[in-house]
Amino acid sequence: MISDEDLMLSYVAGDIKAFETLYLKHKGPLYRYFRRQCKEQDKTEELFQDVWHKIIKAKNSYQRSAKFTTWIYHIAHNLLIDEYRKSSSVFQDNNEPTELASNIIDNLERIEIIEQLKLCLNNLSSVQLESFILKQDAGFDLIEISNIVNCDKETIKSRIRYAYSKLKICLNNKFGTAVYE
Amino acid sequence: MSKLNNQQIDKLYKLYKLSATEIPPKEIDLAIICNAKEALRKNDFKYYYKWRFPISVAASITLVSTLYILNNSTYQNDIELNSAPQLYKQRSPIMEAPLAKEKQIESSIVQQEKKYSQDIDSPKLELNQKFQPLKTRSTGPLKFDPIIFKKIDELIVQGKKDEARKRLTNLVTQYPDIKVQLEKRYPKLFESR
Repeated sequence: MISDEDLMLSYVAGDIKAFETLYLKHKGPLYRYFRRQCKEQDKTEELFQDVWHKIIKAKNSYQRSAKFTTWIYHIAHNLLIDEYRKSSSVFQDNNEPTELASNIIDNLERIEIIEQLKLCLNNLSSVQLESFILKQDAGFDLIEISNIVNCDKETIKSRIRYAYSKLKICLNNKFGTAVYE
Repeated sequence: MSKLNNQQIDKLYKLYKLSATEIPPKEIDLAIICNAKEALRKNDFKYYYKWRFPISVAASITLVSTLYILNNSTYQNDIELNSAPQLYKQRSPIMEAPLAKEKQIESSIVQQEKKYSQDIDSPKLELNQKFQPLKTRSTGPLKFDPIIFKKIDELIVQGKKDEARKRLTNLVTQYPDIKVQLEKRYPKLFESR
């Protein structure tokens, strides 16, 4: 299997198929990275496109020594920070659990749990959410996340642990311990 | 904060994976891929733009080299003539003295020749003047078109001797210089005249 770095270098050499493969591989996690952290759908799409445009624009300066995924999420992180500075509405630092629309919790179905999980994710702080998404969706390890968000490894570890705990509490509040059994 | 065990984390992770289904709209996919294609096309142009001067210089050098190689022999002769040291090319005053005399003689010869050629060329043809071939001077035996003789020969063969004689007389009056030549060719016609 061709690595992301090789695909990127192929694209720089003029192979558009390599870029398509790279895009298909990373579009989902990257889109969700913004989707989870932005309130507005339009802003999510705008930031998502911005990342790819930056990648395309900076393709000639790309070096193999830099890991592709680290590079794109670093760009994404910076864009998100910039956006946060412009408008505070991007992040949701609301620690109050959001109410699930459905009142029927006796008949638990998976779809409801998933929907509730999404709502619980919104209750995480911005830094916890970012670390959680980078770990769970993009598949980075702690060191890689610390490189992306410019933080030390232990802080990231702590953020993820708190994120898990908060999610557990949020889900337990809604469905009890049944979710984990 | 309640602590989670690995099993609970796994369960949460699986739940999250199930929830992670959002993908960008197809329009965005298309826009990004089009942008990537466009960037490659621009890059090609930039590549040419960057190398346009070296490429032009290289092409010019190649062209000049090819022309030089093809015409090498011509250049070689020229170089041999011009490559002699300047001292060898210059003439000393001693060398110049006989040369001046030589030049004087040469110029007088050239003048004489010019005069002679002017004398020869003096009777020049003017427009609308009837051409009278070589009446003023003779430069040797005339050469006629064989058709003229052929016609006379045919008339003789056909037995039209009077007509042949008439033509012959015309020819002699027109070109008196060739009378001897014609007498040799047609002695009978001249005798009977």
